[in-house]
Amino acid sequence: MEHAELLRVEGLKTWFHSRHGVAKAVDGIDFSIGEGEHVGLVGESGSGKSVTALSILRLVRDPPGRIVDGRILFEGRDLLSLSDEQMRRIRGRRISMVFQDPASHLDPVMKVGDWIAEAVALHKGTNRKEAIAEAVRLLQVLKVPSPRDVLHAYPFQLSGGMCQRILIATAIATEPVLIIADEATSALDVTVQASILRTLGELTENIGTAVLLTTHNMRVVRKACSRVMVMYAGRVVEDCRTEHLFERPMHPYTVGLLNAVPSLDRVGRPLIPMLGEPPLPTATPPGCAFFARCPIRRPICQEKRPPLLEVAPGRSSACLFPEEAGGAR
Amino acid sequence: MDRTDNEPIPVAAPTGGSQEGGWPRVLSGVRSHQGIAVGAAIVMAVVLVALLAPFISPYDPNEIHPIDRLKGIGTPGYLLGTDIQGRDMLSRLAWGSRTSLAIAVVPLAIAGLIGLLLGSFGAYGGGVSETLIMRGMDVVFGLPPILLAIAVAATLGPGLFNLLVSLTIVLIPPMTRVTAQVVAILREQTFVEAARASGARDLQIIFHHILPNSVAPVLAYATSLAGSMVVFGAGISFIGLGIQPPRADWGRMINDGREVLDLMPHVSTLPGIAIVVLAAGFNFLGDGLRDLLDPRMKV
Amino acid sequence: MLRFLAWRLLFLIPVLLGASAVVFTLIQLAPGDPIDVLMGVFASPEAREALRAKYGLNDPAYVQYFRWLWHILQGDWGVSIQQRRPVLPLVMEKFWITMLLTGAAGLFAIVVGVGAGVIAAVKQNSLTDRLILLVSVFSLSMPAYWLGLVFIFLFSVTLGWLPTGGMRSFMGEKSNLDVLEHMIMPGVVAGLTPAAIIARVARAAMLEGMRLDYMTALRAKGLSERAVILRHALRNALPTIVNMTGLQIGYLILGAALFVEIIFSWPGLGYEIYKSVIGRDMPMMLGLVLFSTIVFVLLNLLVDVLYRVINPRVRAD
Ligand SMILES: Nc1ncnc2c1ncn2[C@@H]1O[C@H](COP(=O)(O)OP(=O)(O)OP(=O)(O)O)[C@@H](O)[C@H]1O
Ligand SMILES: [Mg+2]
Repeated sequence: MEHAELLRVEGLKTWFHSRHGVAKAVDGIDFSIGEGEHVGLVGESGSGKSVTALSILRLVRDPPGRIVDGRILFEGRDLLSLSDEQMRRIRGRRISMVFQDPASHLDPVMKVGDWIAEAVALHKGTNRKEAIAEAVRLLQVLKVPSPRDVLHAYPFQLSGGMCQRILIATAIATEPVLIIADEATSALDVTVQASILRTLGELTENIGTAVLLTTHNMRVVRKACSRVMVMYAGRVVEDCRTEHLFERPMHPYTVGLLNAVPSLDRVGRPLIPMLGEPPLPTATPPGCAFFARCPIRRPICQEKRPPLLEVAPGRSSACLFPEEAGGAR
Repeated sequence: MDRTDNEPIPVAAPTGGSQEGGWPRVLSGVRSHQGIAVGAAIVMAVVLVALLAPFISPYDPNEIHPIDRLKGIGTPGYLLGTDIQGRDMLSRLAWGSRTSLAIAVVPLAIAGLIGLLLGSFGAYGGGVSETLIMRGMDVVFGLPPILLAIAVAATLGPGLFNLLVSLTIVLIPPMTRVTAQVVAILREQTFVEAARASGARDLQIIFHHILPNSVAPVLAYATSLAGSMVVFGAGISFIGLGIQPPRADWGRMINDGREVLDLMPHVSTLPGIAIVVLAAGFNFLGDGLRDLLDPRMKV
Repeated sequence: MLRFLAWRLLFLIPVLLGASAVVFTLIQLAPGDPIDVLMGVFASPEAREALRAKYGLNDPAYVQYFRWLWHILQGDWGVSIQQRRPVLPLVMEKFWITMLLTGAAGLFAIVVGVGAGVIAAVKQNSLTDRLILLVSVFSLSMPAYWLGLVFIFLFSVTLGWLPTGGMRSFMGEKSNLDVLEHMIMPGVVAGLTPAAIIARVARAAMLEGMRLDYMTALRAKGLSERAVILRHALRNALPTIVNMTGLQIGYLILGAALFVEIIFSWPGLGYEIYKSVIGRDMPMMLGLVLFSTIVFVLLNLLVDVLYRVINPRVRAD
């Protein structure tokens, strides 16, 4: 299945300035997303997933963060060259976002119904009453029991799962072409996770919305994404169709990730936790960022950072020896 | 938050996103240090003036020069001019700093000590004793503070001593309340729990852990009130209670100059400026100290 | 909410009892023997003793207190020595005049204070922020009675724009516009300190809220910065601001306004307190203090209730 390109990120760098130096949280990331495509972005904690997500919407707080380089091409325009006002019209309307910790991403003193209605009214120009009716309809689609009662509640009166449904309803209400879901299910327990992923999948399928789902959970990716990008130390190190990744990873870091989580294809084999720590974002080495932890490293890897290159049809890796990466499995 | 890591921290502050520190945190750290420096410099300067008043003053502050009444600023022999009775402004300002400092420091020190004891014993136990102390303060001191001070000063009669007494009375409830709030945070801290677990008696814990750790934040809070005390104490003298003539006092001096405001504005203006400067010094100092030391302050 | 209200109303009783006890104690401590006032210094000891007994002055203090309280509750607040009129109606009359000034000062304090606080928070650590902070520190350090004089010198004596004091002009029109003109300077001077305090509290409360995650979510929804700040951040800071503003208005009516009324001869409670202090009119002064305390306590109640009404998190439990 081929998708027309919707979003292309090129050489994006988002750095944070602090007393301890410059943290290169995102340091030259490249990737693209097609129309209606569901893409996963996986990586360890601190690899820069959230910062990438926020950078696309230009929502990184400045200070301390700043996008220092790169391009974000969306529907043919570079988002980084837009005025604040133009950018504002894209947020929530063309690109929506769902957050990791749903309860803290809602206004604590606003009824959740008004929260949804605010977005609907803003982007569809409806009045409050119509917006609330639309909110009720969305919650019904999300299979929320007695949606009217829920809409009259404040966030602190609702469960985390319910708050996440509210955020998803808000994101979808405006029928955007891209939803960025940053760890949308990580804070929820497994059963709620599954149902949220399912409804998110169905809803976006219906209106043809693309989804960028960031997570550190391989199983979530497998369930919800057709393509997956693996992120390490601020860059994408591997990018391919989900089934290919699980069949034959082509970057030693991906291999490490897969070995560290339980999975059905590997029943009976021991889990192997990855050794070492990722480099501090304030002190990235000149060569491959994974060098210190890599089982197949060679001296040449220390010379310069390996670029993300197409190593087989439809798949890219930032390893100089992609064929050997899977050998460890 | 708003403190730097290398500062002594009297009480573990409630964490609140202090990790994402970055620029704002650094800046505000700098700001509170700046405030402390500026404030301390001003206050020290006034203290110096008060100490050296006999040497700075060209004349006795109460010495009347009938011929040289209402001289302007810069008149030869009278650097800052003279007042209605021909008394030297510079001498009166210098001596007046003594009463202003006394008003700023003495009531706060006494009320602070009382509040520290009442507050720490009251709040340490939590529950009933805490409620009792706090509500008790509410009940007895339902009166608006400024009015209470004026009423007490009016009842006791004029004079520096009575003024200090009335200000002390007014300050006891806020000082007690602040101590109780600080202690309520302290008593939940792990080092207090550790002491309790290792079998220390309550009295020991209060004297070895609670009191020493409450002093810094309570002192910071007291400093932040000192500026208002300068303004307010001079105000009581201004309306005719408190300090009595001929003793030099900044509040009194403002009142003295009222009648000649249109002719010789400096007679009222100079003591006013003196009050503003000293109060601002205390306020800068207090704000900075509170940023650094008070666990109840977040921003 | 109802339970809270009931509790809070019940708590009024001990607070008012306590406050009245303090006032009563002050009456007892006040210099001068009431018998001297009634009979003169030269009355015979026997006659004095008889009168003491008649007025119950030999009874234990608490009996006297409750007798006094009983009179207070019946509206018998004593007679002003200076004006030779019952205290209570006099006080009521002055109260409304003070409320007028407090209204003006409060309005100024809220508009300027909240405005400055919000701007300082939005531009945190900028030059504007520092300037606002600096001005607020100096406003806090500025004695109202002195600033009043400076204003009079500038705007009345030198520039001749505004009247020097009082509430109405002696001659000419008696319109409300005239009162308004008289209100400007005292209103601004009395409102300055509360404005400074409100600004600091508003700034802190705004910053506290603006750190939170949902601010990012609001921007992600596509809201304009204006809507984010005014509709959400300010709304969240409102309970804290209301709380502090209420307290400040309380102090204002009964404290700062006092000095300002004296300077601008504004004929309200504060000016009256000043006159009774100068004239050693203790019944009048303590009546004024007691009345002010009642207002203060009721105002605190109002603020507490309002705080609950606008804060759903507290309201729920
Ligand atoms: N506000 C900030 N100030 C300073 N550095 C930051 C800030 N936010 C992020 N960073 C830096 O960016 C790096 C990446 O953070 P990010 O939140 O994108 O990680 P993540 O992949 O989303 O991790 P997680 O799985 O924990 O959400 C962090 O290690 C940190 O150094
Ligand atoms: Mg994240």
